[in-house]
Amino acid sequence: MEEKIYDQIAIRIIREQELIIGPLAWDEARKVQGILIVDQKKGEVSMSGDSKQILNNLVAQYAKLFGRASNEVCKEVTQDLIAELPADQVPESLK
Amino acid sequence: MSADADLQKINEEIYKRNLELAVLNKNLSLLRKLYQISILTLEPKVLSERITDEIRLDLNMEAVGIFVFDQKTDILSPLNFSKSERLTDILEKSGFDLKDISIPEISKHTFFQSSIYGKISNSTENLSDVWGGFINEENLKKLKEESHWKTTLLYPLVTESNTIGALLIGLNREYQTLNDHEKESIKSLIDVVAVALDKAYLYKELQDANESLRNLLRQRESLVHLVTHKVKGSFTRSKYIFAEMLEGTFGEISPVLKGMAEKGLDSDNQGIETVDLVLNAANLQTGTVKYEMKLIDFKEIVDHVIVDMKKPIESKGLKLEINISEGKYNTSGDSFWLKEVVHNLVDNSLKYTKEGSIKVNLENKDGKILLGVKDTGVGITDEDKQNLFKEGGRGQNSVKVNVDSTGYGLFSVKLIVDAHKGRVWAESDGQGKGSSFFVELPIA
Repeated sequence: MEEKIYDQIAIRIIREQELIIGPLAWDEARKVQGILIVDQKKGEVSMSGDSKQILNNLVAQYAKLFGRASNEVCKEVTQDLIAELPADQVPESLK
Repeated sequence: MSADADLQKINEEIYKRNLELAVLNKNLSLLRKLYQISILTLEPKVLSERITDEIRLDLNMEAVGIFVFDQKTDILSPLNFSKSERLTDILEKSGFDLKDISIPEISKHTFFQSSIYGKISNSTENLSDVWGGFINEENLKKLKEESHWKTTLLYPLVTESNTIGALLIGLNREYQTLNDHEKESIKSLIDVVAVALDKAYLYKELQDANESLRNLLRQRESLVHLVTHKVKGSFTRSKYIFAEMLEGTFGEISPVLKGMAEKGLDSDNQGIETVDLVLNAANLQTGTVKYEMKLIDFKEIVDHVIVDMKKPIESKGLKLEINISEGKYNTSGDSFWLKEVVHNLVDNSLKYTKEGSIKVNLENKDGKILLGVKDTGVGITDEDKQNLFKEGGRGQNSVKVNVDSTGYGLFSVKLIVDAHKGRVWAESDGQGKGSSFFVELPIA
């Protein structure tokens, strides 16, 4: 159940970043270890490893390039999905 | 500052600008979708289904519902609720649905009253404020525990000065956590939803009014048929009594009685003609008449009518002038009904002309058949021209001259000519200056 939500969070973050910076958002996501872009057009992503940590790394990947504003975007767009996770399962970067 | 740091700063600035644009784009995109829905959907229930689904999915909400408000009964009735999968499951298991819950006594309801009557938005993080008293305690507890419905937002849907309904939004978080796009979108979409709903209800009202009008027309039509058939029956019966009297069936009658029987027969014939006119017009209007379209010679029809009308025209002391040019007068039409057209126009001239002449002109003009019937009669005022070919459109002068005028003759003429893809019109320099009627038909 949580893994499914983590996948949804990753997709939501990449898609939202894509709206702001274009296809570059997918290139940056590919650089994050543990993220596999299954189908960019359909928006299918899978994660292997510690999903919580992978999501933290994904958020950090965008923040490294675009600063705090990108971090806020990741948090805002995932609020409804975060609400479904138990508090201890929420990635630090999205709290 | 190093070049890398500069670049980083530029990157971040560009990102912020792009972010602002992305928020605006998303808002515009949602509004465009809602406008599209409002343009393409006219039925209020379907409209509300599509709008609530679009808003909920676009803004990732738990529930979005539209209520309509009836001020007379003080009740908010749900039109539709779009719900997340999880919420749908919970409600299904609990055996109830939000779209079945009407909220009565709004003016006394703490949460709804301020929005509906005060026309301001309202929010609460307690589901009991919204659904308490309408959902039983057990189900409400379940909803609170199992759903992720944390916050309820309520927005009045206002058009001009009336609250026509409300938009209810269920969030799975606090309002403060909404991002700029979500907050902006909610603000902008309220008016769009209100206008769309108002338009949908207006359409429904028009549809209902249209249906009532159709029913009235059907009733009137059937009444016209009943009355005209009864009246025609009465005329026909007395017509045969007069005819039998004149033929001597009841023995020799005195000259005085004979004169009265002749007048009675004339009067009955006129009555039957009038009833037929009204009946024909009604049948032509409702499409009951089926035209038998054949290749016919329109000149022959005009000739026949002239033969029929020559005697009554001349016996009234009027001069009949006929001018039929050489040419092609073949057209595709129903000879019975086209004869009615020509007869009606010549007969009208006869009725409305006290002295002078009636000229019948037939020619080919601009590749079409053109019939003209010109008289030196009462003429047509500009005011009467407006209603000449409309149902019951009797002119002021026509009533003075011909008290039996029904206003259905020219109406029927137009219906018939239209059905033959032709054109009919009238010209007159005014009262007392005669009239000219023209019929244009395609050559076949």
